[in-house]
Amino acid sequence: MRPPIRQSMAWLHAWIGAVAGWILYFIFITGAATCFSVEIDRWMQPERPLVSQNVSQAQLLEAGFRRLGERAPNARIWVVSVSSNRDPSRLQVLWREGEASGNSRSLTKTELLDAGGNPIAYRKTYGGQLLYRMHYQLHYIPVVEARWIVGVCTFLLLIGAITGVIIHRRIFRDFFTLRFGKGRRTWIDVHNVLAVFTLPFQLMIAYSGLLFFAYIYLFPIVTIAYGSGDSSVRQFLNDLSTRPVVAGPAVDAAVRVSLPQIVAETNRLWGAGQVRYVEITDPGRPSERVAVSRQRDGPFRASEILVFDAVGSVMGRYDGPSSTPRLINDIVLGLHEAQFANPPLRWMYFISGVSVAFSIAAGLFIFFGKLQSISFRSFPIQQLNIGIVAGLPISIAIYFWSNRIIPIDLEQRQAWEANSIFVTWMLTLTFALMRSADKAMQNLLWAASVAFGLLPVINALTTQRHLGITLLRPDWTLAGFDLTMLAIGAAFAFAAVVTARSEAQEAG
Amino acid sequence: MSPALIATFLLCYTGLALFAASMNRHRDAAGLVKINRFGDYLLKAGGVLLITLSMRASAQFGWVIGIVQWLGSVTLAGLALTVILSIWPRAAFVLAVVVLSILLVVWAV
Repeated sequence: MRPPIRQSMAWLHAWIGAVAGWILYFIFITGAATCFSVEIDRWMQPERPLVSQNVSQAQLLEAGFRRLGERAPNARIWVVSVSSNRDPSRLQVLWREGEASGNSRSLTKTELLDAGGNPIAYRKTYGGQLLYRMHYQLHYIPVVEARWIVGVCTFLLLIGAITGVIIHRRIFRDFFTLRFGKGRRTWIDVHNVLAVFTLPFQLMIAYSGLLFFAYIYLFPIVTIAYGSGDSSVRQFLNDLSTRPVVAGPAVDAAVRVSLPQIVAETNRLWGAGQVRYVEITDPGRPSERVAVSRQRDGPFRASEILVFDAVGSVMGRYDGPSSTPRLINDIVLGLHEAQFANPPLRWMYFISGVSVAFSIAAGLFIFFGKLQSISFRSFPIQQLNIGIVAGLPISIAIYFWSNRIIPIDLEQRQAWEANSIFVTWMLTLTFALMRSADKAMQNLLWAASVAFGLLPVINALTTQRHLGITLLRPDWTLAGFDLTMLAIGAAFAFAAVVTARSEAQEAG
Repeated sequence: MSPALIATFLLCYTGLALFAASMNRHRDAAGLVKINRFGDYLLKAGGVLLITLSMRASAQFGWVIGIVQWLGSVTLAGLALTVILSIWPRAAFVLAVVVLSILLVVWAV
């Protein structure tokens, strides 16, 4: 007879999983994919040039300034953005005509440039950033409501993790225990092992995740000083942002310094290759201000900023968080986003995220297996679960397929790429509902294997960025994407074979 | 993949393998000799020592990144050990011994 606390915690754990499980699974899969969102962006814009080793950051910045000088000489704000450590050849320029302090995003135009400063005509796509956005505000649902749903589910994850530890009686004895071929017991072992080892990760990622929208969930943070409504939230966020405000006298135009000289001065102070972006307010005018932002090398999200005036003297600096609450905010959110992470650490985040997702999937499988045998005699609820859980990876693979297959000049093609995820998901769901549980699992695992495994082939048939070219260069970002797709396809094939074998064992 | 990160991961793996070796369930699965209670504590202490050394290895990244890298290494080393233990129990321990000797040689040299 279980002690009452274990019983109530077990009930809570199971029903939290039932309520929040599918959404948390979606959040962790898209979140894990977000670890490589910049790399996915590059793969989904195959018109961008292959990586070139010899272009320095100073050359890229200069090319960007030149292009802005030609294209938008009268703009109020110029931004040249490079992101050296993860995407060495990326060069993006943005400009805004009209009022410098205006808020309308539609006034901002942007272009991607190659190393020579020429604009690249690339297909419209949301890229990896769609997976990032869906990770915290889902899709098709109004933004604030979606963030509430994600926040509540994240909080439920924390409760689920803690209740899981409470009910796991033999947590140390079963620490390394993973028995294959035992049906339900195997699924429980998988659920336990994956969840226990990733406990520090889960606690960190869920807690830090909640902090992003704490000002929504704990709304008195904003309303007490700013009142309620959208404009008050915007004002609050504006005041929070760490732009150093520098006002100063206008300078005599005769002694103005050029932008490349400012970059040289920055390289002298910070070292070469440290620039993240350069933002120029009122370019070419006496009141010009140049703000240079530094690459981040630690979890601190706020990067150092140097502000120059038109004659190249440093007017202001921002060296890091100015108060302890800001520092804590930076570290906690920085740990979640892992922008600072080098490739091995990034892969660790990815594997941990996928492991949590699989742990949740195993838990859902156990729960719905039990539920199917107790109630729901006529409705195939385990198949519903299988369709949802196995369907999501297939849908993401089809998202990548759609990037290659949807015609480039189709109006709103990026919206259709996004739609393809959910259309596929509905199809896998419907398919699974019509099959037996075992067959549904088998078929969907094989479908996932094919969807991922054939992606490099589709890539080769539709672009000039396939493995034959990217391995020779070598362009490891693009080649790595294709190789990872092959590896995921192989993993799903392995899973399908193992599942078939253990089912044959149980039946025979 | 810096040497420090590899060292952290391998030290975590061998430390956790020592913990596993102190459990009867896994010793029996690997066909190892039985040990008494003192041996049990000895193996656990060895495991603690190696995990501590792995913390030291990751400390050279600075303490913020070091903690993140260490936690990631423990997580992945644990998952790897568990999977290998459930498929080839003996190989998991043999691997631990081999890795430990390589680490000792590299450290001495």
